Amino acid sequence: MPAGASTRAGSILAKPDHRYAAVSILPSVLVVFAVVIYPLIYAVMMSFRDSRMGVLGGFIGLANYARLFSDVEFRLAIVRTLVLTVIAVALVIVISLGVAMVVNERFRGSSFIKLALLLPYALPGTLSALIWRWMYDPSYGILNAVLYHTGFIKEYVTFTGDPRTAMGAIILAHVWKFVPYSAFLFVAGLSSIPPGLYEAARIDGASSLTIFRKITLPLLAPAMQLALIVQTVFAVLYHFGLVYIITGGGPGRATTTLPWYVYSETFRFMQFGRGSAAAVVLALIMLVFIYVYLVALSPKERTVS
Amino acid sequence: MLLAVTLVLAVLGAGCGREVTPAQDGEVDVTKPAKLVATVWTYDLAKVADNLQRFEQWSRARPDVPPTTIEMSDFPFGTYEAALTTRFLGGARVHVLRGSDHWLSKWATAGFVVPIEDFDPELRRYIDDMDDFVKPGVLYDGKLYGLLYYGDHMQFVYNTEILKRAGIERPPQTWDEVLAQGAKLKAAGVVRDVFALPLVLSPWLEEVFYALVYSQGGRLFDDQGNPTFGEGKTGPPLDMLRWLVDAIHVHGIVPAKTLEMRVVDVQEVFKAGDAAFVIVPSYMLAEFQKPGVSKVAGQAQLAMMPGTHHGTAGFARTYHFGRALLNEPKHVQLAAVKLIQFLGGQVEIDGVTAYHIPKRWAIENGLGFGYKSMWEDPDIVRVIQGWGDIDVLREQRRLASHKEGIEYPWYAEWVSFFQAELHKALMRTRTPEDVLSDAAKRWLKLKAEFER
Repeated sequence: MPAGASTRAGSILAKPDHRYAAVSILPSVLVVFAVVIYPLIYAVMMSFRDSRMGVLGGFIGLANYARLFSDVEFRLAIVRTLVLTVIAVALVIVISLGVAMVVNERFRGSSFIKLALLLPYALPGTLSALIWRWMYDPSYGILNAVLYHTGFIKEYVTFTGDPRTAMGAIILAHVWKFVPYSAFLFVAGLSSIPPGLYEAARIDGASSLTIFRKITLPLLAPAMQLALIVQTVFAVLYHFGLVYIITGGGPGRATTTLPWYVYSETFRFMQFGRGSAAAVVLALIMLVFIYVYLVALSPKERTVS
Repeated sequence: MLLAVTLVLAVLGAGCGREVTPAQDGEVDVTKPAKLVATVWTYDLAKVADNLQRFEQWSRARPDVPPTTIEMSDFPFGTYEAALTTRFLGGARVHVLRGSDHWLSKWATAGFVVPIEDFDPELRRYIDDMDDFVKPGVLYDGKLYGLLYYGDHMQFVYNTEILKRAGIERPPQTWDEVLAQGAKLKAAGVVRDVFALPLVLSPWLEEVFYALVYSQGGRLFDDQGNPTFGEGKTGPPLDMLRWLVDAIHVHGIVPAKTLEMRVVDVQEVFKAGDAAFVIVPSYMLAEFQKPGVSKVAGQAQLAMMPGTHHGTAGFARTYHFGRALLNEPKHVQLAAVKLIQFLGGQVEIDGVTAYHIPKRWAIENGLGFGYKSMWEDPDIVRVIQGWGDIDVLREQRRLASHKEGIEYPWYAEWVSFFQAELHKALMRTRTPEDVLSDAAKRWLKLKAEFER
């Protein structure tokens, strides 16, 4: 550490308030270091080592990464993860924005709707995955029953056993669970927009669409940015439970996404080196998404015209 | 979250690979209380807990067993392997645990489980009483790693009433007959799903495929561990994969939804009277015949696996010792030896020496067993006769073979690839020839990597 920096740190800690602050956050810093930073560093190191069947081997450079990227299934898993993420995030954002606009209005029963909306998000992930598995059941599932009795299908169909529909089934279950989270973020954002802006716009003769485009959307940007970041993390990682419980990565490999790939390499094949390398790639993909959101929706872009 | 778990695992993994050996010989103080940690999967937990409690009481009544208390934890079967891997890597104290034949080779290679014969060489005596098909579930590299609490095989089961309604007098003997009878059942419109199979991506998919291959007298690997299938090769693996593809897409005998059916889904479909034929582990017969929970009670019957040789795939569920036992004092190790025999071997209770716990599972839950002498137990015989044709069951188990290849540590990785490839053939996105060719190449690649 340069001498100047050392002196600066020393002068900062010399103040009682700063010392108190440093001591207060120290436990959190230690916990974060122990459960995030150190494992992260260790996993990155592990990804450069030969490690199989639970036994740690020597340094092998980029061999784990080379093997991963030479594996067509790994590349396809990345593509599936990106497709799922883009579709799921887009659907969640659009639907939750619509839901937020509705529940932001005061009408009879709006409080109940707000409460009911929370249910999917409040349910434990495993439970909601099980519910969807039962709904998709090809023999006795309620989805088949409803479609059959309303005449949409002539015989029961397989939703998660068909590669053309399996990923859609996962995305639908994911969207159902995570719409409420963003909807409430948007509700909070909407309620912070001064009503006077809307009144002024209406007096000036702006249409509803114009008001939405010129006032609502720009002023929702902070909430939108947060929603996009959080939903991307949810989409990249949290669909794992659905894949685990509903499809097991199949049929074939139709729903084998990166988290499932990491899980298989690590837990099922005990290839910790390759599993760590795949996890690092997964983390990098998330960082790219988050970086794009931060740049695209940076504060300087937010203006009301 | 997954990333975090993986990262934490990576850290924990650093603790593995240490060489530890059993405690040195010396006097064992059997009066000292022992505390054991046991891990099981979630299946009839009340009975598991009761069995463990019985052991605790038994240990206190025996002068040659340390008075023992057991701390039990359980995980669902679907997450059991991952949960145990995490615990092993974290160095958790797991002394006695349930296992399955398809995990033993990698757990033993990783040093997660240790040979039970190292704690008591006398335990090897059980090997002679075991059916051959269960031995890969307890033996690795010639050493005994566990005892059985359950050994079973994949069984062809049919609904007598449904067949009767279609004018079919006896179950099919060959796979061509399955197709012919299936066509007749479809034409008669007496059942929704002719033939339900658990073909979702899970160990049951491979059990079914092995059973089909064995039914035609085929093999998947030779004695040197090389695949019998692959590019340009013909024989039962290719024939039966083609048969299955045609049964789904050409004949419509096996429903396409079978690719998302777990073994419990197949069980439910059959119990509801919605399937004429199923291939399931034989223990499900007891459930099929239970009035009140099964609509087909009294209608389920066993048949030999159709085919030229009527062979099938068998499997073993076991108890093992975790490596943590190596670090325990002798009296705790002795308690573990007694416990594993109590749960998966013979002990003396009330003057009777028998496989008490495997027998209890067989009688009360219909679980199969892998000890030959248990067929001589009149209580077991009487109960099985109440469920179905015991001669068929016994003959089918005699013709059961373990899943070839399972004894190799790369099996788990290969079979995951193979299952997905099988699905592609069954969905007709790839041909059976290409699927088997790639599966053979993958096997040889993994074999070369591990041998290197």
